[in-house]
Amino acid sequence: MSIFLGKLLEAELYKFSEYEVKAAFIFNFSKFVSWPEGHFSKRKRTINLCILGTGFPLNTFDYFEGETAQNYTFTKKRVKDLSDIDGCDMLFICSSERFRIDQIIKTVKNMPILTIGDTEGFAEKGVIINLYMEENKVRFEINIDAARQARLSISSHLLKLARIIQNK
Amino acid sequence: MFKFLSEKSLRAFIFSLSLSLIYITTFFQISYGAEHNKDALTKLTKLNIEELMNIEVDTVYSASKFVQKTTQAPSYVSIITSTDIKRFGYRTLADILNSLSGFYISYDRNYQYLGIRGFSSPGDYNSKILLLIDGHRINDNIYNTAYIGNEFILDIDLIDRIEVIRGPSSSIYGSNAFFGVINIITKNGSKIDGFELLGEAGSFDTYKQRITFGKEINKKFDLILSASFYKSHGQNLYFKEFDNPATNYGRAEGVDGEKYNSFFGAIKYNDFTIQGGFKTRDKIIPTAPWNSVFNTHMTNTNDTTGFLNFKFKRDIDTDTTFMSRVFYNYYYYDGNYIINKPPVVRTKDLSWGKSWGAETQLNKRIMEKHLITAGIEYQDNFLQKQRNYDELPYTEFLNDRRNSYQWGAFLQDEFSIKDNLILNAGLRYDYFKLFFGNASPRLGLIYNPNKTTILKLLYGMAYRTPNVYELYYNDGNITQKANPDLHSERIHTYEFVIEQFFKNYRFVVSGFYYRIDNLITQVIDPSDGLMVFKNLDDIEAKGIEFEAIAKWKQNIEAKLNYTYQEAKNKDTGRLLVNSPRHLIKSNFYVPIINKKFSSGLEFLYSGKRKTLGGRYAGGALLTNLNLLSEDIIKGLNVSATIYNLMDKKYGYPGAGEHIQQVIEQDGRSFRLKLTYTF
Repeated sequence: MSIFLGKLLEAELYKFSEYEVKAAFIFNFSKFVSWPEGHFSKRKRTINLCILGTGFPLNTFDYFEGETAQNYTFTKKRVKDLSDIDGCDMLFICSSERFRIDQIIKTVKNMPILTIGDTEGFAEKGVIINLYMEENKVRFEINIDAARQARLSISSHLLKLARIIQNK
Repeated sequence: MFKFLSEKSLRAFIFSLSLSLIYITTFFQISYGAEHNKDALTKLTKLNIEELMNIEVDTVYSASKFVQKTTQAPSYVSIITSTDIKRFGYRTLADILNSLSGFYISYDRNYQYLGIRGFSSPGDYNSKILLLIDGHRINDNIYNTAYIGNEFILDIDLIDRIEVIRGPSSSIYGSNAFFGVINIITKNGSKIDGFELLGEAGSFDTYKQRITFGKEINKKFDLILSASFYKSHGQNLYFKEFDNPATNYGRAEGVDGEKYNSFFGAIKYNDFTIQGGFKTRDKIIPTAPWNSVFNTHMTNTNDTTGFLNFKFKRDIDTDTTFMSRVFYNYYYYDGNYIINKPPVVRTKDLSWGKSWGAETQLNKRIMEKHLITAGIEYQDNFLQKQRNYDELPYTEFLNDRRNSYQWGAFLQDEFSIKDNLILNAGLRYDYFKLFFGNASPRLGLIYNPNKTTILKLLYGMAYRTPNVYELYYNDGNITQKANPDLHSERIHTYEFVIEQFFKNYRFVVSGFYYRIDNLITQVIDPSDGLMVFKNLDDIEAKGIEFEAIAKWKQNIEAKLNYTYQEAKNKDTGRLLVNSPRHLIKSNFYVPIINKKFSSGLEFLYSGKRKTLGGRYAGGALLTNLNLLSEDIIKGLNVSATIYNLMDKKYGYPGAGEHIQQVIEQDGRSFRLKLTYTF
């Protein structure tokens, strides 16, 4: 705990915004997920985060661009439509997409894409990881059935910290 | 800046600074060579999930009635948490608020009064500050009092955090949000997670017990119940104004006693919350106000307050929140004054206030860049009753029974013009049965030239309607008379705030200019010598506040703030009564052996204040020291506090009902507090 506080000291006075912290979570998730074997080919050295929809400030991900997770470089791009999700390893679905979330999930549920949201009810709809706020702190829930269907395995470490959701 | 400072306050300032330095260097060595990263944000990339889960997003709800970053709020905001309360051994809400930049308190040995930005007029019962518990208005409907001393309804150990919004917020709250809004957010049951027992003992035979049960039964259901009991024998005091053989040579002995019982409970189920609080407090008054007989325990007051709040709040989606609530407020005041008229009689001074009301609010984000907040509120004051009579022989002076209602509607838009530029604009209209309509606008422009600098330009207008006490109270025209012709007071405020983050420091500078029209003030009518409330013309206040906050390695924290303020009657050019020019506060938290043993040291300086008689209550530097041991054995916290460590003699200006120009305050005192959670 004290090491943690030491690390945070400087950061602590500058209070982060909800989005900045959420972006850090999203980046971190990439470290705890194993994609199916053969997913990353030899020439693909990046983990691509795609952002679908509007509302989540894209520039908050700038700080994570170029960082490495599992020996891959983290990159991000905004996708206009579902037809553009080729090459996405992670897909952040903004709240603006809530009215067509069922359609999005239907399209991506069998693909090895880690879907992430920050909208109430998204996990129940089949989004794999959903962020929510609790007393000023960011928390997350994981739909383990959705992860299984996408053939992603999520480390038990992450599962321990999450609220677990199962498909009904 | 130092030109303003009198020699005395300068001395106090330097003294407190050097003491703090000694204090810091004695207890630890700051490891300076720490590697400083260029940007706090890049640190985020280095944190792991557990660390991220511990980060609190610094948000405030009360400034705009939706959750926003404090740096984006249209106000200079301060947040105090339960951790601060623990670290510095605060006993009352007054203690807590007194540590903040620009705030000061006074105590007449019955109630505590809050001063903000140079205003704390004697006879005004904190009616110009709006006090909320979880968004629910606590100011009563007779005096509009925001209770902040032991008379405050909630045990301060049940406070999770306090949001302090400086400047007027009538644009979303209506009346009383004149100088500021204080919103108390209570703890959830999950924070207690079991039983908590508290035992306290302090100077002047003061004892307190509390038992609290709190539990999150499941994700949907949370419960907290608490009861507190307090009793204090109080001090023996000396008042030189009464120093003659007939009045015990000015010695008030055994007449400073106080006791209270308070209860609080909240149940949360899904989107529903039911919350209620109750407190009954008795205080013996040692100051012999209103020409009462000196040195008798029969002159005392009882204040009983209660509320119920039934709330429904649902996040319909991330862009829409709906809230609706119904509430009930109860207030009862029972004052006993032994007065030699002659004969010696017991004068009963009583009031009853009851109200209910309802409120509905909607937050909605539209077109990406606009966050609209709209609400309507209705309050029915179905009982506002004041009585004043002598018991034997029975003579009635006042029996005034009223009722009134008010409704208000507001609309606010937070418009993100650019990524780093926000316009927060709001307008509220209120209608009062007695005072027609009042419109209150507020404008805030918030600009971030870069990630670590925040500039705010703020304009606000607020009002306060006179309360039934100011309008109708009289005690048979013996000391005080009524003035039903009073009208609302109004304030215009202009303020700028600059906030700068630099490494592990945060700096704030705020400059303000307030203009008040028709300020409601208690004065003595020269024609009959009676106290009466009048609308005074043209009051002007200006000032500047500086604040620096630092967090160092090993979790050491320091805070220093300085306020220069000048509140004047524009016609006479005279400084207002009970309005210190200088305020300096600083506090330090130092973990000596981690959390096992830590200390909180606090310096509070308030400059001299003018009294009603044109004399001065001298400035005083107070030092409080708290030693804290958390989890000394599992679940047990021990805190030992010395208040007024240097035993400084000081006093606050009295009000119109006091013979004393200055009312003396406590010297050095102690408190030992044990909290056990299981």
